[in-house]
Formats: sequence, structure tokens, C-alpha cells
Amino acid sequence: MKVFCSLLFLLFFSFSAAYAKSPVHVESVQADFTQEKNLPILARPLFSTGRFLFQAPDSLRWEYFSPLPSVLLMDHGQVRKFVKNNDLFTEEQGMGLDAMQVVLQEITGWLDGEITDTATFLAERRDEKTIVLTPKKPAFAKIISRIVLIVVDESGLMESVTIHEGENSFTRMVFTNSVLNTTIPAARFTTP
Amino acid sequence: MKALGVVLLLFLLSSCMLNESVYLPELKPFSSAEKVGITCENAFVQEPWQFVHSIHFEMVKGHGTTVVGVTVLDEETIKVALMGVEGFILFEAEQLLGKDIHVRRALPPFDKSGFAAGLMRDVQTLFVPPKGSKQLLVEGSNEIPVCRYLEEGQVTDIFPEQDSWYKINIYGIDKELSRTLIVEEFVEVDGRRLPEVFQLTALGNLGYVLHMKLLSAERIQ
Repeated sequence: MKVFCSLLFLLFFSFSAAYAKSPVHVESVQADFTQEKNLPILARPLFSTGRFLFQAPDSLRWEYFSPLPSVLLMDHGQVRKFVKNNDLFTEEQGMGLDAMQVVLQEITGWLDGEITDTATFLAERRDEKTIVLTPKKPAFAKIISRIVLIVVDESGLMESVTIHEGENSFTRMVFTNSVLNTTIPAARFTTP
Repeated sequence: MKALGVVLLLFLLSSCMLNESVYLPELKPFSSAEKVGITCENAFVQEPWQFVHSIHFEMVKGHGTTVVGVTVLDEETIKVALMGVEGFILFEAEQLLGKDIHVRRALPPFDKSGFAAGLMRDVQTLFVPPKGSKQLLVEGSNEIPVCRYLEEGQVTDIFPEQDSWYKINIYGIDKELSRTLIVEEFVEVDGRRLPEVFQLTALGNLGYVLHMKLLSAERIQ
């Protein structure tokens, strides 16, 4: 579960491509991101930076550069996670990876198909740039109350995604330097 | 091959140590107490701070995992959050010192009974100076200085910083060692010397080791 927010990032590309008036076929996506974390207990928000790579149909690299370097890799549906300790990436075991694989398979299936509500979320387009995802199941809504996606334009890229976890608790990711449909070496999805 | 054997032996010994009972040692009075009194509580913060640490959990019987821990402290309150490395909240709670813990959020397995109390206890070990009466003592023939705090049957021994190494041992009412904190590296932040790399070991059959590294520290106004 702890890596679930990573999946939601992938989700926004899928949704945006499908909801755009002139959707672009997404073969690959690369983008830098800045993540802002807000919680009621924090005196100041926490900031992280990283980079995201996606290659259709189901390869993903989700990397944090700071403050804690880590890499989440998905290659043909297999998910692995590495965290840097003492200058070496060490593979993490256990916790949440199985659940994440299920959701990723669901999300990546949308890239070439028509997007409707999924088993997990109801999708609602609020305006030209805004899509709001609401969990269908009350139990899941206790973990994530809603996700707000802001689309850049009709290219299928996103400006930001905000994951609301509860009252005054949210994670906002803002994306820059987005590149669509360029070749990404396969090794980027298999090695940290 | 010989080196591998030595590594395996050390691993086995260290594994056994988590389950081996260690009891409160008898210590001798210290002769020049004044100097020790200055350094014993240096690793604790007295002012409001916000800390972010990477925490690698290592269980006695099984794999570990890495999370990010946030601690916000002031004179009266401890606020704690545990997040996945991507920032997803796993556990969030706060406590007025000496009062009940208010858990805001706890996802499995962090919702288990006793987890919140154990976590707050660990956080207090790291950041809050022990209360109770204080004795200045020495351990062993090398006369290593120790500050011993006695509070409601619990004993906390603090080994003041020497060569950037600092240690705390906590013994329960039964005089058995329950927790050990070893600080391996310090860092200077905003004019304050703070533990940067350290590990906390909880002993016993359900024991664990927390390998912690300071990622950021901000003084709160």
C-alpha cells in the first residue's frame, strides 16, 4: 500500500490521454516531478524530487532523487523496488507489492482503450483541465478520499496530480520537462 | 572462504544477541562529574524541531523494509508520521508528553495493538531526555563515564559522546536490557549538533533494529 501513490501517477497519464478531445496515442512518457507533502502534524511541508518514465504497455520507472533516493521499477508487469542505503541500491522485500501489481495492470490496460470508470475509481471531468477520481469502495475512501488531475492541454500530459488522503493531508505532484513518445532504453525499467 | 565464515559467525552472534538477556550492570561512582554532566544530554533537543529520517526496519525473524519517519517536537508535544518512501501515509499520531496517544491514521500492519505506544517510546528514547534522578558513574576497568537515570523502576544509562560515538541503554523494571540506541555519526544543523546516523535495537523475541539516517532537520520558530 505504501507505494500506491506511485500507481496513481501512472493513472493520470492514462486518464488524460483518454479524456483529451484529440487524444495522442501514448507510447512513452518521461517527466520530472516535484512532490509536496502536507499533513496536519507538519510544521512545514516536505518536498521530494524525482523523474518518471513510462513505456507502453506496462513498463514503469518511478525514481526519487531526494531526499531519499529510491526507484520503483515495473517491467512487463513485474514490480521491484530499490532504496539507496550507503550509496548502494538495495531491493526491498514484502509490503504492498502484490496489491500494486493488480492496480497497475488495471491502469495500463486503459492506454489503448476507451476509458470509463474502473473497478476502483469513479472518474468525473469537472472542466476542460480537471478530472476528479473518487474511490468506489468506502474502505478505500478511508485511505484515499479523492485524486485531482490537472491536464496541461490536449497532448495527453498532466500538469499536476493531487492525492487527498484525509482532512488537510494531501500529496501534490507537479510535472515539468514532459516528453512524449521518445525511445527509452529497456534497461531503464530493469536496473536501478 | 575464511572471511565468509567470519561474517557468518558474526551474523549468528549478532542474531543471538537480540534474544540474549542482558541485565543492569553495577557501576562505580565517578570522580570528576562536572565534565560528564555537560555532555550526557547533548544528543537530545530542547527546542522545537522538525526531523525527517529514513528508517530501515530489520525484524529478528524476517525481512525488513524502509520507510520515512517525520518527527515534530516541542516542549510539550511529540508528533510522528511514518510514510512509504513515495510519501504515502502509513501512520500518524501525536502525544502530549505524559498523556494518551492520539492516533490520526494507522494502516495495517501499523494498526496493531501496542504499535503506537512502542513507536512513541522509541521516539522519546531518541529525542526526549530521561526524567528521574541522575547519578554519574563509571563502567569497567577503563572507567567509561555513564549517566544513570532512575524513573519508576526503569533505568536509562547514557554513555556520553566520545569520538563521535554515543550510546543509550534502557533497562525495564525487571532490570533486563530492553532497548539500545547507538549514534554513529553526528551532523551540525543550524548551530546544533544532531545525531545523523544511528540505530535503535529493541530486544526480545519480537525485537527489531531501526537503522536511521537524518534526511532533514528544521528548527521551528
